[in-house]
Amino acid sequence: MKKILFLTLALVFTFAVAKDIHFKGPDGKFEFWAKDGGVDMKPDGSGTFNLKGPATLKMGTESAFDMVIGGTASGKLSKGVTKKSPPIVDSFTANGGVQVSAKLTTRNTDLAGSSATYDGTAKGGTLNLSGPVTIHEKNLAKRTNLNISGLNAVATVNPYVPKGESPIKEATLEGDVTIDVKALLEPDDTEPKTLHATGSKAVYSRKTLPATITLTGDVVVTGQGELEATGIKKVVITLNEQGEMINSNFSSEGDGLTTTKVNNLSKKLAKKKKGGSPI
Amino acid sequence: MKWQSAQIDGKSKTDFVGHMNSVTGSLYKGGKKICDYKADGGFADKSQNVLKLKGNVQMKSLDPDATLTCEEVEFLAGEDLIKAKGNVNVVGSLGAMDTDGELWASSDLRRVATPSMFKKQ
Repeated sequence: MKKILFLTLALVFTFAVAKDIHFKGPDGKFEFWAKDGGVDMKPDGSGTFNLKGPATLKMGTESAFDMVIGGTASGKLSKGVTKKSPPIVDSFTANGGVQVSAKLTTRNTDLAGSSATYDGTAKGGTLNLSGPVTIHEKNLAKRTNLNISGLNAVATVNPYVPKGESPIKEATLEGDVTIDVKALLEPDDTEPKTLHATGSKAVYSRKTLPATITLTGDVVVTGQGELEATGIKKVVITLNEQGEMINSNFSSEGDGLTTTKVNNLSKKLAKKKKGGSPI
Repeated sequence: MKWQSAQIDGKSKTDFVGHMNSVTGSLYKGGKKICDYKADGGFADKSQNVLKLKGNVQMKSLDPDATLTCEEVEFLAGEDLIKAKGNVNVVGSLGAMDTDGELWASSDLRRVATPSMFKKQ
């Protein structure tokens, strides 16, 4: 069932985005292309918008925060902070498949769900996504490919960040969470190492560097070769600014205590380094 | 409404049907001027409250400041509805909207949408 939902979601985003109608706010910080759509504006710059997808909605600058919407979306624009400042997106709801793409120089991060609601200010806001929800982060040098999935997510986002800064600050996924990582860890690696972990909650955080993904709740980890670890309380995966995995840490009683003791690979790792990366 | 040449059929003292060339005029709402327009040609049916403009149509709202350009417009005064077709562009202080198809707008150009979405708004 879950696979079918994922496939449905994937199909939504493979549609060519319609360009039948195009709206651009006065400073370009709010823009959409859609099959159908419209705005109802007041002279002070506040107003409402409605879209019918497939549609692309862009908030912020430098294409750092683009949204693809498969169904419909509607939202409110509020007048700018000052009389001359542009309108900002106050809130919106979207359904029929929603994907937020944050495109940076060295990595792309896609956050997707079946439907979404957003509440924000000029300093960003909160994006609630209903499932199935996925985060896909791809290091453009192809050294790490990361997927996190869950049933729903709450994300802290700021579409108005300066160029080069991540607009997705944090996302908490809950319900049947799965993390899949393929990573080239050493400079001369040609075949990626894999990590598959399941749990009930994952927190993807880019609030501070280095970025981390923390998985908790009935955690089970499997990896390349014979690795299979249970009895883990927490997995912390660390990513650098380029989106490359630089470390993964398993713990049962607080950070740094490795308890992966199921097979040969994990035994070796436990001897090698407490709290170290098994892949 | 002004025009360079026209063919007018008077139905009564107040109603008329007219075909005009090089048309300019204004739209009023509640006795207040809200929009100026011009076009290569036009057709007005006073009894139906319909104005049709064709060729290099330009409609300019006064508040907010916005300009709609297109190839063809039908204005239904009773519904305060502008139906614009063909390379439609609306550009103003509140933003810009464009389409190759059809856009509907209120006469003050504050409300602009594709036809199906205009009905829902």
